[in-house]
Amino acid sequence: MPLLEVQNISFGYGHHTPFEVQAVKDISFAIEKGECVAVIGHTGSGKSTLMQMLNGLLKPESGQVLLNGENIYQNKKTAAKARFQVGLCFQYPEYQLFAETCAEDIAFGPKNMGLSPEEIRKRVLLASEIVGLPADKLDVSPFDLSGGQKRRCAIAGVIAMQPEILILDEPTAGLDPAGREEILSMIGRYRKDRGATVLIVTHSMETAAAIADRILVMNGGRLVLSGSPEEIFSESEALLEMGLDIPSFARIILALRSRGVELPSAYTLKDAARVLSDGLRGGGRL
Amino acid sequence: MIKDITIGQFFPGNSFVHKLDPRAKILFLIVYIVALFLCRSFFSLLLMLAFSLFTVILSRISPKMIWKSMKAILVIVVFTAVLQIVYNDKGDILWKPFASGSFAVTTGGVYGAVFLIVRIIALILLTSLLTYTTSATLLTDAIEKLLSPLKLLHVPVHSLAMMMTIALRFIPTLLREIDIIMSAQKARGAMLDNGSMGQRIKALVSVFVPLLVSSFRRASELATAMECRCYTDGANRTRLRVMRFSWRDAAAAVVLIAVSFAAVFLSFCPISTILLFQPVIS
Ligand SMILES: Nc1ncnc2c1ncn2[C@@H]1O[C@H](COP(=O)(O)OP(=O)(O)OP(=O)(O)O)[C@@H](O)[C@H]1O
Ligand SMILES: [Mg+2]
Repeated sequence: MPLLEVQNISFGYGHHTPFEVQAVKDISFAIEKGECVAVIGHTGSGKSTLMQMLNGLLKPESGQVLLNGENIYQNKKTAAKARFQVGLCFQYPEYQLFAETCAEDIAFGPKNMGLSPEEIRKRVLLASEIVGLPADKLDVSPFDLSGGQKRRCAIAGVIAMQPEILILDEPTAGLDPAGREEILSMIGRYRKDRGATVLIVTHSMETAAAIADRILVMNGGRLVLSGSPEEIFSESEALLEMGLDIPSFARIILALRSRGVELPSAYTLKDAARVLSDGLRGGGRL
Repeated sequence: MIKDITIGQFFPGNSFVHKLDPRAKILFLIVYIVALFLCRSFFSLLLMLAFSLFTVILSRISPKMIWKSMKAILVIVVFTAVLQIVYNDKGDILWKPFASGSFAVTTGGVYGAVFLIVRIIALILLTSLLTYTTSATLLTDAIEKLLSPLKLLHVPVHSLAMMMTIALRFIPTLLREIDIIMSAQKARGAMLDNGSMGQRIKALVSVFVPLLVSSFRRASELATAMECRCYTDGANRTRLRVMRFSWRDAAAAVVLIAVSFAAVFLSFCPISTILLFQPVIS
């Protein structure tokens, strides 16, 4: 049984207004325990809306969401419980910080779960360690942190609930390349150390390829492609049409392969460099 | 629920109401509100309500959407109406639940409550229709024009109009922001939609602080953006589109004044006393 299963869910905003949009249309997929899945799509393709339906915040207008085989929208209680089991970290989560100190802000989720003070303290320390928030920042006001640190603090607030699935909505949006790299390697570590299940929303094919076992591509509210990074990248034409860009090194490798050069596939910059340098050293016609 | 509130939003359209001169619309609204508060009888209120419903139909704005927007606000209205029933002890006693004590539901309370609800519905209907059918730019221009006599007293009319328009413009933006922040805190288990009253109130802190912070951030960003575009008071600005009154405005004015007179007249006319509904507020 998959950990999370989504069956034909749909959702629309602004019914009966001229601004009516069907944000999510009839989407189905499943996530196994320990998997890391990336959801990519152009802006406005319905990614954030979809994520809010996975953790009991937004009831789908049709279809259902099964967590461990149980419908999370059975009643108010199951929906409320799902919020702790499926940890959702919103887009730009630093705008949701509010407490006087970082430690208190990270503790907000665990406190709402009704845990004991010792347990809460333990989780706060653990979570801030996972996200790499320096210990001396815990007693500082979250509003005094840098942008990247705020982001970490907010992500720690969700990780501290120790959810079965961690969903991160655009965790690297608006960060500089170094900050982005740090957040991604943090997520990679978190997965490896804990065998955690992670669902990550992103605009960037490069990010998706670097981190995910499987990629889901959304366009106009629909799930249009799903598969391993390799399968998705081979559909580069379709991706370009949807306004998604595949990184230039991946395009070079695809072009070389289509011309008959024998190369293993590579979808991250590091892999591409390795593959190409191996090819060049081999003295081939490259 | 909060997402459903659409007050302050503009829905582009081509209807009769959209095409009215924005200055005229503001004046009409003032006349309408004055008449609404002069109404003393049930019939006149109904007439005013019918007039606002008629305007809604003319505007071709979806009544369903307006109803949804209003539902969210009606909670507060109904609450006030209940207070009215509880505290008003004028008129005959209809129901006395406790033998001892002075608490009783009276005709005065019930009439007062119904009056209040109908009046506020009519009021919200037409006020929200103003922003539904008028773009922010036109609204600013109109407010500025209407207030322009005050310029003689050195009142910064243009800035005032601009401020009002920005305030209106940001109602939907802030509502959306509240919605996102609430969802984000609910995702961390904030008891905003479950839990006891005390827990809910406590959880509101986690919404208000980020909302306040982001409002200030938005305000300063907007100010910077306006400065970057060299925004000034526009004292000597000329307009691309000059507003002109048309036959539509004249027709609307005639109908509105007729309805208002009829409503005010009905308030003091005996047929409403002959029928069951008596004037309540004396
Ligand atoms: N609260 C809301 N009210 C009305 N419409 C909304 C709301 N939230 C989203 N939408 C609309 O639903 C559609 C999907 O939005 P959503 O935020 O899910 O997209 P997204 O894929 O997350 O985009 P982005 O990459 O920009 O975050 C968009 O057309 C958007 O305008
Ligand atoms: Mg989004």
